[in-house]
Amino acid sequence: MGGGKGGIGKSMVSANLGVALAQAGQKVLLVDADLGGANLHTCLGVGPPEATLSDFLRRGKANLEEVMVSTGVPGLSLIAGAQDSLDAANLKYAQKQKLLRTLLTQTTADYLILDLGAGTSFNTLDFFLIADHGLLVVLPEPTSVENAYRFVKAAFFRKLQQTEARYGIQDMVEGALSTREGALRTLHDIVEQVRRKAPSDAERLERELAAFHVRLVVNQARTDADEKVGAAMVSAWKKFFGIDMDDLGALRHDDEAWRAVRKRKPVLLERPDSPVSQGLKRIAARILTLDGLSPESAIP
Amino acid sequence: MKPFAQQTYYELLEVPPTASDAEIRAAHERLMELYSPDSIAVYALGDPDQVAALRERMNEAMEMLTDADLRVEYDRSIGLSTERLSKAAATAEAADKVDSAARVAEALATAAAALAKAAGAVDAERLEAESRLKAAATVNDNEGEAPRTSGTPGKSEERMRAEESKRQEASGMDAPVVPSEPVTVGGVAVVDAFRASFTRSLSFVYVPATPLRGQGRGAEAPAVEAESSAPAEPPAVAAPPVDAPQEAAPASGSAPVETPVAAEVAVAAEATEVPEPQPAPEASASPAAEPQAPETVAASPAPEPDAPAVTTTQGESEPNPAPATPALDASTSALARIPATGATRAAVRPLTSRPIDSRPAQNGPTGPGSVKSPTVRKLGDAQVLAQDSAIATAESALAQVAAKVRDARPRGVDIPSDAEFNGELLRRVREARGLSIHQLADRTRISVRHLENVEADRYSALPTTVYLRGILMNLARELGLDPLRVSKSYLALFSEKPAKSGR
Repeated sequence: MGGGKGGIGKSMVSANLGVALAQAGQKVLLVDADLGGANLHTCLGVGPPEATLSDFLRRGKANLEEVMVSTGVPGLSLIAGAQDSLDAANLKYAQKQKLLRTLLTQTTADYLILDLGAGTSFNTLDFFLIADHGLLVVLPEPTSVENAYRFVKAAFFRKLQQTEARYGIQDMVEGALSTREGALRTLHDIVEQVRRKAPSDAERLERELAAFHVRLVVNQARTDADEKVGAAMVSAWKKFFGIDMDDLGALRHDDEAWRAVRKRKPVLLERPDSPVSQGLKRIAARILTLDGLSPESAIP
Repeated sequence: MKPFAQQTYYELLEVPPTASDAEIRAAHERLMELYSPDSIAVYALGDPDQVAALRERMNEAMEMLTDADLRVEYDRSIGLSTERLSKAAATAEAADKVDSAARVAEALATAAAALAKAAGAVDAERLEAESRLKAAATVNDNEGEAPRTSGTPGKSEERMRAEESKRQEASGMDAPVVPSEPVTVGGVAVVDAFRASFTRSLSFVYVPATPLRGQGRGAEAPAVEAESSAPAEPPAVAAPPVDAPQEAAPASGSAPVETPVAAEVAVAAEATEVPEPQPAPEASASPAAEPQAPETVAASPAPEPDAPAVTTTQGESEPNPAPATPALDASTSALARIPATGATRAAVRPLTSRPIDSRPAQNGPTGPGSVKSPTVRKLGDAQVLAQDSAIATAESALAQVAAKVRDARPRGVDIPSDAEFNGELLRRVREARGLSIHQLADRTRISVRHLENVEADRYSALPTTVYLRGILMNLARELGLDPLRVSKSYLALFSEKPAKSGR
C-alpha cells in the first residue's frame, strides 16, 4: 500500500482492507512498514504494542510470529511499526534484506498487507515491488496525483534497476532517475534501447515490465467526477508510458471514516454500512477476484 | 502498446476501426476532457508539451476520421479494407443516415467509375438519358418562368412535363434505366445517396451544356420569332445582363463571345426581373439558325466559368416550380468548379442540340402543336449525335468523379492560402455561391440560427467546439471549401478571441 504523498489514507485503507479480507475468511497479516511514522496499530485500536518490527530487526528475534500481535479481529494479526528508536526510519540494507526475505517466505498468512510510508525512498519502493498487488492510494487532488505518478515512475525505474545488470542498461536507468528531463521517459524508450543491443533481451524485459502492475484506489472522492479520476489516470498513464495500471475503485469521502479514526476503530467495524465501508468491501472483493478466490463463498 | 506518436488514429481515440462518426466524436470529446490542461489525471504526468501534442494529434485523428474522404484514404494508407464503410453504413443510426450514406456514396464513387467503365455503352447511354432529362428540366424551369409574364404558369408547366415525358419516350429506353443503379454494396440508403451523388457528378454535363444551349438558343431565337413572333421571348432573354455581372466575376471574364454568352445567361437566368432587350437582338444577330447550328456555334469555346453564373442565378431565382431545381443547382455548384475537359465539351455539344430544339416548341406560345413535330425530328438527330459522343461523356464524367473523390474539393472563390476563415469570409463565399442562409440551412441541415451566429462570429452563442467543428466542416463542404482548413481556422479564432457578446 503506497501512495507517495502523506496523509492520503494509506494506513486507513490498509487497516480496513485487512479487516475486510479477514472477514472474508482469509488469514491476514498487516505489517506497518511505515518505518518512521507507524500508526497502523492506532487505526486498528490496538494499544501501544509490546512487540514491534524493530524488535524483530534489532533484537535478534528470528520469527515474525514472535512480534505479531492480535487485533481482536479473527484472522487478522499485526506487526506494529517501530516506535521510538531514533533511526527506526533508516533501515540498514542488511535489515531490509532480512525483512524482505522473511516476509516473502512467511507462510502463516494468506494475505500480507504492507502499509508503506510516504515518499519514494528505496526502502519504501523495495517493499512496494515485492507485492503481487501494488496498491496505490491517491486523492483526487493535484498534489496527490503528482506524487502518485512520481511514485509509480520511481518504482518502475527501481524495478528496472534491480534487473538492469542483466540487460546492460544501468547507465540508462541512472540517467533517467537523476535527470528530470532525461532522454528516457517511458517504457518504450528503454525497451527500444535494449532492443538495439539485444533483441531477445528486449522481449524478456518487456514481459517483465508488463508484469509490473499498479492498482489504484481513489480515496476521499467527493464527487462523481472524483470517482472517475482513477479510470482517467489509468488511461492517461497507459497512453503515455504504455504500462497498465488498474483502477480498483473509489472510496467516498465519508465523515464516518474520520469519526472511526477518532474512536481508534476501523470504520469497517464501526460503521459497516457507511459508504466508505461499502467501497472498502468492494475493493477487497476485487482483490479476491483477481486472485481467483470467490469473495461471496469465502465469506462465512 | 506504442507511444502515441506511433499510434493509429483509431488507437489514439481508443475506438475500433468500425466506429461510427458519433462514436468517434464521443471518444474524442471524452479524451479531450481527460487530457484537458486542467485535468487532474494528467497533472504532472508528462510535459505539458507532450500533453498538448497528444491533444493535437487527437484533434487531427477526429477530423480525419469524421471526414468521409479522408477516412477512406487514411484507412487505405494503414491497410484497412473498405469493408468498414459498408459496415458503418449498415450500423449508421437513422439520424445519421443521410450523412453517412452520402459519405458512402462518395466513397463508392470510385467504385462507380470502375462499374461504369465496365458497363461501357450502357452507362454511356444512361448518362446521356440523364443529362437529357436534366436539360429538359432546366428548360422546364425556364418555361415556368417565362409564362409568368403571360400569366399561365401552371398550364405551361403541365405542358412541359408532358413534353418531357414524351421526349423521354422518344429517346428510347435509356431513361428508365436510370433508377436501377448498379450499386448493391451498402443497402438501400446507399443506393439513394449514391444516385444523388451520381446525378451530381453527372450534372457537370449540364453545366457546360448551358452555354452551348444558350448559343443555340441565340441562334434559334430569330427562328422562333420568325415562326411565331413570340412576345414572351424578349423578356426571358433580357434578364441575363442584370445577373451576369453581379454574379461571379468568372462569368463576366468568360464573356469574350458576346452573343452566345449573353444568350446563354438568358437561358440560365430564369429569375429575370429587369427585362433588357439588348441581348435578344444580339442573339438574333447571329443568324444561321439551323438545327446544326449548335455544332458550328459550339466551336466557339463555351467558357467554363459560366457555370457559377448559372448556379447563382438559379439559386437566387424566385421559388421555382420545377422540382428538379434544387438538385440541379446543388450539383452545379459542386461541379461548376471543375474545369470542363475538352472531352466533356465535345460530348456536350450534341446533347445541347436537343434542349435547343425543344425550346421553340415550348416558347412559342402561339403554336405549340406545329412546333412539336420539328422538335421530335431534331431530337432524333440529337440522339444520334449524342450517342457518338456518349462514351466520351461517360469517360469524362467518370474522370470527374474520380477526380472529385481523389482530390480536393476545388475552390470556386479565390481565397488566399493564408486566409482566416472567419464568419465574414464564410458569408462572402456563401454569397458568391448565390446561396441564402435558408438555402444553406436546408442543405446542410444546420439551423439558420447557427449559420447566422457563425457568420456573425458570435462565439458566445455558438455550441461547444466539438459540435461547432461539425457545423463548420459541413458548411465548408457545402461551400466547396476545404473542411479541415475552415474548421481549424475558424476554431482557432473561436478559441483565442474573447466571446463577442453581440446578439
